[in-house]
Amino acid sequence: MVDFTNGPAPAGFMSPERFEADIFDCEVEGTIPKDLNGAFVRVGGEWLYPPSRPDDSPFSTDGFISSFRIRDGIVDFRGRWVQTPRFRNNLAARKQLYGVYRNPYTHDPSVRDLDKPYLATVANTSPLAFGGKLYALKEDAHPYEIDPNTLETLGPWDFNGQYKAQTFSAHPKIDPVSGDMVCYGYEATGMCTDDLWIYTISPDGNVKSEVRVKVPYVSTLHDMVLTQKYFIFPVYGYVTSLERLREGHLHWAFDKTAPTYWGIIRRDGDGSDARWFRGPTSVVMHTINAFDDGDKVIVDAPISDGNPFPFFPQLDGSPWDPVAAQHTIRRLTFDMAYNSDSYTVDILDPTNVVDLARVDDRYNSIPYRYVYSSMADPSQPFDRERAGNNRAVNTYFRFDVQTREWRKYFVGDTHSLQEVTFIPRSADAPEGVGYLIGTASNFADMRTELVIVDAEEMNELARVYLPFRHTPQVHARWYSNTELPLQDSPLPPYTGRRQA
Amino acid sequence: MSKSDKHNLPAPGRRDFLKGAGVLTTGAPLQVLGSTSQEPDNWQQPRRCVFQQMPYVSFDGTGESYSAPAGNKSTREYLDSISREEYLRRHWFI
Repeated sequence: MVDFTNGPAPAGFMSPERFEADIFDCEVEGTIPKDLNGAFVRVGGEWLYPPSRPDDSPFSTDGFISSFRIRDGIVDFRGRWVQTPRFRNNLAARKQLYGVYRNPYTHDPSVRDLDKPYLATVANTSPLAFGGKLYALKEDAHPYEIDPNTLETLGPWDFNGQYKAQTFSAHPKIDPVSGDMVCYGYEATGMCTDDLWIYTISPDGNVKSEVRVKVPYVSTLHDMVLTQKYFIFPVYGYVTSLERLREGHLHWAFDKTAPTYWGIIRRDGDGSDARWFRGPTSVVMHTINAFDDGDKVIVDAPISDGNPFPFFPQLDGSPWDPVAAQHTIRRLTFDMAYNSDSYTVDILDPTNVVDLARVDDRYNSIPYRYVYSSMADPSQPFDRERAGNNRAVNTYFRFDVQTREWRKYFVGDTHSLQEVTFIPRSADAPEGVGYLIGTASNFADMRTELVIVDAEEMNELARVYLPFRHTPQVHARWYSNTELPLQDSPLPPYTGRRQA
Repeated sequence: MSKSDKHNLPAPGRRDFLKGAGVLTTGAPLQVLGSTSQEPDNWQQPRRCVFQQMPYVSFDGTGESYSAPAGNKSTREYLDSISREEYLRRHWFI
């Protein structure tokens, strides 16, 4: 018997929906630019069955992938579960077999698989298109390949056996200069191992290089940055151990005494040159960009001084600190010409922003100008009678790291936005010329809306209405029809019977 | 029977809970969570909360709550403007 009444959201906007959906020719207000031909792909999760323990993380929710296929100003929507072994095992048992976040010791014995923790992945974090294939990612397992048109789960992929790490990050980077993908796995040889394996993979799917390094301590390596010379990895705050897992805890706890390390590793080396720079406690769950400046390495990221995830407990048992969880855009400078293990930090602006920051991906790893993300702008109205007494992320912004200029787009007085994505208007358009795209939750009308915004003027061009509230995403990306083999029709040709 | 009475269905336990969900999702302390053997000593005042629109249970009560609107009010004026008979005539299919 399925019973969500003790779950984290038994009712309301965030309660599980649990259905797959196809909406052909969605309702559109405004005009979708005719030059948009591709798919806005979202990956997130929700509970197929309620969590086995109330303290579990929302990051344990079953993966769900959805696509807004846009072409000639029309939109077709599709949403499907990512059918991982975990999803199928639960469905076969008609109950939740799995315990808390990335802790197989808490799973039902029938699915415990202590030596293969990746079998419990939920593939709920991020989409990836590379080499004409689409994947759903989570950092505790290999990527799960997804049919880009039907969203059918095709299974885990190891690049023809060339990718050896057990895990694959949700934030690989595509080098816009070479076209290669840089990806990595942490805890690469098993639970709580200090192995970080870094791969460079060419668009044809072949591994060009593998670099193996050890990290200063086992922590989340959720995201990284790239320059043309270096791989750059932050290690920060979250800690784990086999002892901790055997005691039945969630995979991560936050140690507010743990230093931050930044590993800088040559892309053309074997890992023996790795340098670890040490700084004060911080969290760098997501990055913005990085580039080389002579002997210096410049890294931009939204950084907090404490634990941004309230469901990962403080190691010392203290309450979660929402002030320390706030993010500001910071610039870190590493001088590779000196042997010092320190670095400088400049807060580019004191504004509290959502850390899901993006750039024009054509500028990954090279000097750039614009950061895009979202924020809760308190100067904008919120209709609490219609939308509830909530804090809303109501604004997308563009921040110019050269001039420090802000430009903003306000989504509406009953809405809360999710991660933004930048789409260049054309392959050779200047940086920043294009569109912003992302979904908004309309708390009043209980539905999800896709907004498309001019990225320079920051005015809305079109809004696509789903007739329901859709599964929350973690990350989303835009992929053009040149990056994925997208079909024009949402349905395959009809092959059934016809009346004569 | 008033227009709102049509929603007063026989209410087994779970429906009773859902009728109160507007309160429970406002961040009020939870009374219904089952205990587990893994509870740390400092779990107090558990509340349903959200993080970037993902729901979870905050056991120290420090999270951000999601407050459901007290009902969809977008048709309130319309409903008040018509009689019960007219409501049934226009919306017989409900």
